[in-house]
Amino acid sequence: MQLIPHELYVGEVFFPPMLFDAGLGLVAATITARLSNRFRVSRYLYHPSLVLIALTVIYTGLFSIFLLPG
Amino acid sequence: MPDQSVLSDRVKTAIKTALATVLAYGVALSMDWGHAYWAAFAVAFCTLSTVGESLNKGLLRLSGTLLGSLAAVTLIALFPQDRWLFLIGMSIFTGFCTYMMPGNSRWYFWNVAGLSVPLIALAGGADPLNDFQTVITRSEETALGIVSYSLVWLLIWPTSSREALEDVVRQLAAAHRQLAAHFLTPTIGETHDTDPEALRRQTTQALTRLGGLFDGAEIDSYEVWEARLAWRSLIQQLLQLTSILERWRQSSADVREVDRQRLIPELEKFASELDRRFAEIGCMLEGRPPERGPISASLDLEDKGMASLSPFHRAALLLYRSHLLEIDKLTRDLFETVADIRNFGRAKVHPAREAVPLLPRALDPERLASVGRWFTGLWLAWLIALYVPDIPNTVEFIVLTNSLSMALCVMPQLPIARTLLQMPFGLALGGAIYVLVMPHLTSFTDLGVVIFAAVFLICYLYHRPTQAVGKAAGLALLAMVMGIANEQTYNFLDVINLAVVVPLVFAVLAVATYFPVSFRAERMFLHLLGRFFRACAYLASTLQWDPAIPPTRWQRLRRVLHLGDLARVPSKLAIWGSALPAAALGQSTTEQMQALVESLQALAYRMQELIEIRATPQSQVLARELLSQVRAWRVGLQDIFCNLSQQPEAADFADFRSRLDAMLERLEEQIEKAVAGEDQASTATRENENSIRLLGAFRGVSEELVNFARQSGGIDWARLREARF
Repeated sequence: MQLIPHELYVGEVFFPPMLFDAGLGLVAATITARLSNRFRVSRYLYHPSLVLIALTVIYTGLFSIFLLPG
Repeated sequence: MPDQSVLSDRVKTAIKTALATVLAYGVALSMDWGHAYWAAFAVAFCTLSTVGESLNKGLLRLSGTLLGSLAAVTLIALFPQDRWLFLIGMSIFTGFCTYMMPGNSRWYFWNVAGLSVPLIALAGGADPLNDFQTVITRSEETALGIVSYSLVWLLIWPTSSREALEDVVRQLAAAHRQLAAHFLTPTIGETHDTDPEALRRQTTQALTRLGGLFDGAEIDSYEVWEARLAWRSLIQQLLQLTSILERWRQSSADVREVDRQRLIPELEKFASELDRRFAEIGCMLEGRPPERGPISASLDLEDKGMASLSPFHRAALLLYRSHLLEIDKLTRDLFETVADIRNFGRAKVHPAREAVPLLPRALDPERLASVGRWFTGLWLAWLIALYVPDIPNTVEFIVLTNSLSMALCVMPQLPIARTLLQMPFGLALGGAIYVLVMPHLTSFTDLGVVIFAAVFLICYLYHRPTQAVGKAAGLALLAMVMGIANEQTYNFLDVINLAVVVPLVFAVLAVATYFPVSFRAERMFLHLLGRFFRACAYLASTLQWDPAIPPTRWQRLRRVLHLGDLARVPSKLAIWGSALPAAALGQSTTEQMQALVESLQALAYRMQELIEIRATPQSQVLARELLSQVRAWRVGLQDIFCNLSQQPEAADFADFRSRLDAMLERLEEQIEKAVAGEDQASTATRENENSIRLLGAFRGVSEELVNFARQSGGIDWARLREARF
């Protein structure tokens, strides 16, 4: 695992990697939710809204470990 | 000035809003007032289609700002050093404002009063001495915005609210005339090719606009202001007439098999008189005096023919006739009121004052849920701002969350993502102008052109009424990002910080939409459906109350609350039903859902009639003879309602139909026997008539339940109930 934190920058503006991880996490969770709706898997869930938040956190965590570590 | 016919209303409104914004900025900058964008806010939020409506909304904004400012200054003075007490005090005031918003024609006043408190308290910064200056600036800028757009609206393509109001009333009179003619067609043997569904839709839309137009016309027209009592009375009468026409339409179906022309000999004369009254009302609104006043047409029933009818047909005809009598009275009043407004020498009509029980509205669960949604949103924003480090632009974050949460209380059915899509657009457009264009501008002329183009673009793209909240939010963000001031500074971080705040606001609003109360259309629809049937079940149980024993206070209270539910829930179901997403509809269509809601509205009317008729004196003989049958009928209805409140999909059309037919058959025999046992003189008494009408009302409720079961068969309940992201 990379121990030195690295930053992302666009032009001369620096952004924390966590911001991108969170954005990607939200997008991934939304796509998962759409697919679950599409294939009617979401009907087996007790509280889909909570699951969406949980998925966002899980994806953000995974991306921050494997894709864009902070 | 370009030819008026060349430009559409959409372009004209966009041009006028853009011009008014430029004017407001121009004056604010030339006077060197701070927060020039507040004047632009007033323009963005208050411009409507007519001068009067815009002016009315502007005045509501100004008075709301004053109340909010007063509350903010008082709270700051009371709790200058105590953050939590200040927040609690502010929440109580803003919560009250939010609570007052739904179902109120002056909701905007409460909206502005509520959103002004955190805005003024936070915009003043750490020094409380700034707060008074902020209050003054805010009021000045708001007044400037109102003056700017009023001037533009008056000078460029002016649209009078009075003309718009009169047009809508004329349309309503014409629609009612056609509807009345359509429903009388089978009776008097004429044909009409008008589509009643389209007419009913047109009537509903016109009635929705009427209140706002009247408020505007009262301000921009002296003629309307002078006759305001009569106008209010007219609006009330039009609402009542629409409701009674709907009930009449339903009762017409029950007497389809009856020869109405024979049993009500003067029905044809009444039909032509009704037609003439509506035509004369239209003429009077156009400024022409009526040829003559309303003429009486007797609606007496033919006794021999009535005696030959079955009891239920007799009941249905009595109900039909009572509706005709109400229509006669209302159209007569309408005629007199319009004649009074137009000064055609008719008698003055006093405004109708209908006693509306306040409690059901005050304890409306949806209203309280809206306050819960706002509270969750605001406190989440407060707690994030206080405890999450490095949240940028906390003032904008809290103010935007509070304003949008409050705005959503008026139209809770709007999906957040689609409604507020204009916000990122406004932010991106404003950011691009701020970073790329504004540094190159050298004069206000250049800046004015840029402001005009940006405002025009947003107003032109988002012109639909359903996009109003998003458009206003988009314009507000545009103004906030551009941050126009005399000593203009540029900081890219301002744009980025605001760009971070917008998703945060979205996130908080999204959380508040699902917690603690879910505002998903399908959830709300099912919840309202359950409440409707629970109200029906309770009201059915009240039919057993002995008129000689007055109900307890608790019983009266429950009855009033359930009657309120009965009156309001069908219209709410119509709103939420139209907001259902395709995924929740499944196999069912929007038309099927609409038909289901219409069957519930009809059921509500029938229940109201049943309750009203039950309160009238009844024949003791018939009551004694039919006691067990009527009791079984009532208990059966109660059971069905209780069951439907848990499982609306349990409505079985074939089962309901056969049970109702069997009940009707049994009862008809027994009524005939009971009536035959009485002497002929007593059967003509009012009590007997009431008892027959009561049985007819029972039948009406049961028939509407059967109709609900039929419509329910087409609904994909499994999909509607299914959990979904």
